[in-house]
Amino acid sequence: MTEELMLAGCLKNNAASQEALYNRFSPRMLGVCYRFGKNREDAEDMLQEGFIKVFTQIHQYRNEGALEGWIRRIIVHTCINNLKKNKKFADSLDIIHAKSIYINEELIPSIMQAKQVVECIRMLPIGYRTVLNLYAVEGYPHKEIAAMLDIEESTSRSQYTRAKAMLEDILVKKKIIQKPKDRISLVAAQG
Amino acid sequence: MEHKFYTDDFERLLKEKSDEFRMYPSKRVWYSIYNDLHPDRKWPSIAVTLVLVTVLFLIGYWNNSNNISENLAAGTTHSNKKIAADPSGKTTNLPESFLNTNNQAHSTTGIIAPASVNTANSLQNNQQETVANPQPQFTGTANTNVVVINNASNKKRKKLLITNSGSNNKGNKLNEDFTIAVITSAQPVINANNVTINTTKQNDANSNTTTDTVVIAKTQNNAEKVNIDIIAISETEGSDEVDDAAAANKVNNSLQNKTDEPAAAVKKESKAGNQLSAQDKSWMEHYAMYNKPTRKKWKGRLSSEVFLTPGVTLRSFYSNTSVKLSSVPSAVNMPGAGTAMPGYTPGLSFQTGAGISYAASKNIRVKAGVQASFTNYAIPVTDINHPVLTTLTLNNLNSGYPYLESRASLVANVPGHNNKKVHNQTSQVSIPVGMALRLGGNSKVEWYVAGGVQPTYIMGGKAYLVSSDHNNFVSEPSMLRKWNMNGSAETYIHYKMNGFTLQAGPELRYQFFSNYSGRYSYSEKLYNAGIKLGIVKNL
Repeated sequence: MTEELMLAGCLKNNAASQEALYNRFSPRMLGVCYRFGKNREDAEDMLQEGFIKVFTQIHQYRNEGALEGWIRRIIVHTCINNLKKNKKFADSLDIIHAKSIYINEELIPSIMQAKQVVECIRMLPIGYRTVLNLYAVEGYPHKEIAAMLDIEESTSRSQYTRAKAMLEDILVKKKIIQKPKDRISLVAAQG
Repeated sequence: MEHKFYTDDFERLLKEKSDEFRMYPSKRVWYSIYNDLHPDRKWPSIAVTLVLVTVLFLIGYWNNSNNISENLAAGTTHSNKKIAADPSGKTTNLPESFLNTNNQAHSTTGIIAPASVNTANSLQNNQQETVANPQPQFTGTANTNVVVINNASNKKRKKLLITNSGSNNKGNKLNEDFTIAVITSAQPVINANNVTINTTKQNDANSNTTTDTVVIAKTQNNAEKVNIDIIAISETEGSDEVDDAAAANKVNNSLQNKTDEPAAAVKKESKAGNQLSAQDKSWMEHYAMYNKPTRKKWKGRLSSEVFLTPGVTLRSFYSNTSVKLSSVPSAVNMPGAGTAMPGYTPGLSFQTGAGISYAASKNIRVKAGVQASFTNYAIPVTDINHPVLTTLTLNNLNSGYPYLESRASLVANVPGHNNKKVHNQTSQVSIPVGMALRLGGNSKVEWYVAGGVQPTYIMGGKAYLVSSDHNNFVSEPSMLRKWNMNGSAETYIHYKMNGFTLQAGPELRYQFFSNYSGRYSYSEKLYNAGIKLGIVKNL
């Protein structure tokens, strides 16, 4: 089913079209939710809520960009709204609090490639992780991140800097990437 | 977004790898979305679901019955048990070590699935077959295979990653606690019909451990035997998630640390493990990601608790309004009538019990359990050296009119020199049912308020009843009401520790009905106030 057909069907609240759209985009979107959520169950809850928003607001899609990008924005905002409901998340945006968190490297799974990188991201404190996900992966500017998370733009920048340093450290220790920093590359790719 | 150019390799790496990452949601997610979008179509889907569940249940039941029947009919022995028969008459034998050591017939299935596959989709299909298909399958033409043996009797699953050793009767000795392993082999494995799994137990006197030597041998044309080494065994409960990735690590380490194997062989295996093909790597990643048993819905939501509530018993005591004292002239005219209502001293009491609670939502838990209670308070009295005649005002339950009944009393409610205390006590068993609301907290500490009702059976106790003229007390335990209803309100703090949670907070328990039967002309309702201390464990 083409994207146009799926869209037309979804606008008519056609269940088959909705399922086709869901099947096409849900694996990648669940990956997005998984990077933000606490665990798989949490991510699936976010995905469910996000796709309900997608289908109920699909008439607002203007065909001005990729459908996947539009869906992704809704999913990301759903994840952020979910996180903001959690008091612990608000606390974690406090840099002083986050600094004291210790990462146990042994807990990082030793499986390869994309999942390993994602699991390393998930080892970060939730505040760091969220800012890093939004900036480095989703491509939101710090100004927009600050607005989304109700924090200062400078806080977003410093959270990102610290998150990046912490993640780099983990990835280097796990031999997923190599230093020097200006030559970061996958170890596996070189080996 | 104009800033979207990645000047940093690190950010580019993150972006690329994160975008590559996919996860496949469970069917539940789509069904929930569908039900939310099409509420009018909910009932058909529920009906279909029920039919499917019933059919699956029946298929599972019939398969289990068939396997048991076949095992019994074939007269299988404990050391060589038939796992399952496939439609073409092929048989698979199960090693003794894979089964329980008791002598019951077990329903067990063995499956071999290929490890090397091309796409994630076909992998998922394989995994579904692995779980659902009760018959052994030897479809692999690849280098490595996974054997999954489900033991229905103890609901445990053993997974074996195997490879073809190519030599006769040679197997790796593996400790039972090995879980899952790196797939290694350069030789093709199974593509013929009959497979036999044999095992022998060996006791290692030096290390005081028992190891299994397991060989899976496939017989081709009943002549040539090909031995297959077990690289690893994992045994899991059906409901538990297995961290295959962590397990793989563990086995790698274990393989390297093995002392009872020739060093060269170990090195060979480790080296082979590092030379996995891209397909095998991809398979392992997806296997670890998706081949996990479905988490039970109540898993993590259900918890059990035991508690003790030391406290005090208080009471409210008043004349039963249905009693028309004016119609009992002898009661008000008796000598001493008008003496103040008897006082009392709160006494020590306790409640103890156990229960379970279910997290209906993030902030609400539903609770139920069993509770034993002991209530106790004291009445200051004067000991009388000899029995005196007194009366109790009782209600005629048929007519509604009160009447007097004579009783002998040994204690008086008037000042004297032989002061002492008598105790009114009850022993109760109740079934508390209620709800708890989480008011706040963090990952370590949580604050709850809770309330509930407790249908209660009063097993026995002591009851000193005040006489009609308030001058005496009469011991009359038969007047205790047998059934009652209590309500409880409490607030407590949960403090999470390693593996369990401590709970502490004040609790108030109130009795809805009088402690005495309707025949007695006074009503007494008990209150128990105490500090509830408990230990909660997640199930």
